[in-house]
Amino acid sequence: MDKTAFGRRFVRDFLTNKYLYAMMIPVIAYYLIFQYTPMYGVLIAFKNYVPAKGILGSPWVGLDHFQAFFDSYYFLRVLSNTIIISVYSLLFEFPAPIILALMINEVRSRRYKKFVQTVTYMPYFISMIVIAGLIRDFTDSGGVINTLYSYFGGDGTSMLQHAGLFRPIYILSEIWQKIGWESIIYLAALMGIDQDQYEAARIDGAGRLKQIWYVTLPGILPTIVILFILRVGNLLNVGFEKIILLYNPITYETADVISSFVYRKGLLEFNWSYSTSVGVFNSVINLTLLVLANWLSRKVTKNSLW
Amino acid sequence: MKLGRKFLLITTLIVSVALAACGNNAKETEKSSPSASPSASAGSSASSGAESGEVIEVSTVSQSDPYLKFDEGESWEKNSIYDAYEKDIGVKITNKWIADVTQFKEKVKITIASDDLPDFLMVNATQLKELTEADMIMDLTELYEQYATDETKKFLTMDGGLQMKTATFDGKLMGIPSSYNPYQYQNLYVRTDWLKELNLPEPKTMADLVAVSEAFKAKNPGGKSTTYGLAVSKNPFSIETGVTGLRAFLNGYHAYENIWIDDGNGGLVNSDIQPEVKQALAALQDMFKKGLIDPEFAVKDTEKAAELLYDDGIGMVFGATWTPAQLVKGAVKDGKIVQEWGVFPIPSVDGNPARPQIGIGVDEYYVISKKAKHPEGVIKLLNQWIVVDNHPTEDQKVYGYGKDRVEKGSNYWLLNPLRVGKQLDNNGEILPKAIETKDASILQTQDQKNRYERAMKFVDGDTSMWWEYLISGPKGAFSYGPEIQKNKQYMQNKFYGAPTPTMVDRQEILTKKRDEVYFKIMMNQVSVDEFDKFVEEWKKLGGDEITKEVNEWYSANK
Repeated sequence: MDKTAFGRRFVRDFLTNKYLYAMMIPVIAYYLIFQYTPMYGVLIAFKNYVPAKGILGSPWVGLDHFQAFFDSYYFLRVLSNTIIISVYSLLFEFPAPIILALMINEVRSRRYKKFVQTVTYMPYFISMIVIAGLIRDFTDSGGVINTLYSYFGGDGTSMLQHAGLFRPIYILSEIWQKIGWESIIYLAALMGIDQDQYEAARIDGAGRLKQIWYVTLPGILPTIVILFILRVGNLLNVGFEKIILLYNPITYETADVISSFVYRKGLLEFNWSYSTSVGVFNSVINLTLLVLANWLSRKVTKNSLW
Repeated sequence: MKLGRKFLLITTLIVSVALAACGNNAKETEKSSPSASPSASAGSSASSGAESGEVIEVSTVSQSDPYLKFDEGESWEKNSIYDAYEKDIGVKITNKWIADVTQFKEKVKITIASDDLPDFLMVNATQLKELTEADMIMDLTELYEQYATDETKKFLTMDGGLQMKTATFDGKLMGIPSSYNPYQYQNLYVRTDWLKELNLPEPKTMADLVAVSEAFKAKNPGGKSTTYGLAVSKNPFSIETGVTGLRAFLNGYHAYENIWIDDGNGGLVNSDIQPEVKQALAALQDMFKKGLIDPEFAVKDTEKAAELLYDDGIGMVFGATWTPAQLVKGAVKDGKIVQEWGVFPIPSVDGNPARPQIGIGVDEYYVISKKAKHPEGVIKLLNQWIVVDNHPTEDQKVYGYGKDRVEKGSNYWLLNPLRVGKQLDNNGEILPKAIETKDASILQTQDQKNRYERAMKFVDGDTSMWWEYLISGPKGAFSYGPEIQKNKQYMQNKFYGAPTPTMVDRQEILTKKRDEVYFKIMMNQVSVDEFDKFVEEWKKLGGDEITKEVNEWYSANK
């Protein structure tokens, strides 16, 4: 494919899809302005950032901040907490919207379907502060969950005071908040499956479970794989908002993660450079994982991002 | 074709999610590495304004407050207090931004990180040091010398110059201390109606305290299903917890929260790792086991914890002198007094009286940006504030109450952009006596007059002023001050320098470790012997280093 051919094809494609291209402009602008432009700030990970001197004027310190992070007292704890929470969410949170989408797909009544969809994706739009407040109320000694839990041997005190319960609470609430929203993509993928295949399967005597297993799941597998790869590429990103809203000295040992550590270092203690270097460390690991997962998936399932 | 379009839709969705997900990374970087570009515009808001040579403009940032109620037609942009400053001293005040209490501190940090300082603003001790080292704020030594009035200079050195010293680096004055009187002590507040009902003595020792809380819980005079002995909230050891904290409890055991005290050999040691703390924690663990402390204190903020006080569930709490202003929410209902509270000095574990711990009296400083065009305007604001806050003329009452010049509970004083308090006061000597004898003639300061007036309203039957009587009246929160003062029966932090390098680096880890261990011991999740392990770890984690640095400072500043 030589260049002129590509150019000509691009022009033709542009002309036929000019509205689609127009719709892309705000998105591209967003990424240029808010994601790519600030990237030069990554420089301060290797510098000793002093606001008055600016990013370019601050002195270089090489890898000092990285060294300090790896040597820091809480390095192993925040790293392992981050990985554990991430792996848990990969195991439990990732499949949840797939299962929900499959179930919604099997529902015959359109109105009921819409109703379930609306109800499940509502929590996604609630602000994190409110969510944290809800979680605190639910897990309170007099809260719904605790009342039920105490029938099964719970001690009835606020669940946020048990280091061992922090991760389950975190993951379950995450599922509750995002399941509806994340299932939208799978529902869209489900609509793309050729109805003839179901008919063929039925003629061959497949029941509904068999249809799901042999037709539906393979139909949305590419979507699942791609989302999985992306998820792996975000393994070390556990949002700090929810963590800092929910943790307390009793649960630090299971709840403190890299991002909450960065938040405290950067904003509470003015170690801007230090916290940026932790962010860079995060991104490098994430990128590596992403490339790995992609490579693996291309070998095994022939599905990949690129 | 049909399939193709659907595929396109799915891809679009996936890509948008993917990008949003990838975006997280960059966003984080963005937060911690704010661009330095706005610096160019920093000075522009302070437009010269000096064309007439009369009115100069200074910019600042302000914290909005739910208790501040604007008069009709007034706002942060235009109000009678800003007008008064402009008219009286020719300084026009503008705000670069205004944020509420939850956002203010964060926004200050971002303002510093992005080098976008207003002409002056209030920062904490760590920020003062940062800003000095980053060369972003002005050396005020000469400016202050030249523009501060004699009254101002005297006002800010009432304590012998200690507070000013904390703002001085290498002989240069880098900030104006937002001073207050450090000689204010925490007290124990107890339901006296319950004491009477159960025929209990006033708590004088820590053993009394436990006995009273046990009785309160067991006999349950409030008749509630949830009862505990002592109210505690989630940051009990933080200086910011004015009510429902446990610093005073530690003091009862001659233990102190993170201050530097004599080691007996002319050096300083940190109070967090002293054996007295272990005793106090053991006592707390014991109370926790007996159900005298809310097992959920770790997730309750002050307001939530105080609900049990309002609600007759708990009848005892430690707190600062202003605690009655919090208690009033439960004590006075529909104009009737439904709970009776008494104030007592901190009980002691043994025969030696407890020594309440206190600081230096300054946690925050006003600093002036290096780029400020009219730094003298800031000093003029300071001079004026001291005048109008301490001896206002009738006209100057506008600075306290707005254009009507009468107290109507709108908290207009909050609009003054630069406020410093008295470093010493004799409220404890004057007020209880004046109120008891209804003698207004011995009152000296404006603050005393205001408090006296409110307490008199209570005496005359206005129950909404119940709290002021409990603060300022006989046997009130202020009344124990003079005795403590006279006997120097307090424990003042002996370190008042800027945070040392290792402190900057490690204090957060140490505090966090400490809270973790203290909490676990309190909540009986680990044995109290865990404290000894914590002490060893504290030393290794930088504590020894900090102690060395603090002692170096101490020998240079003794």
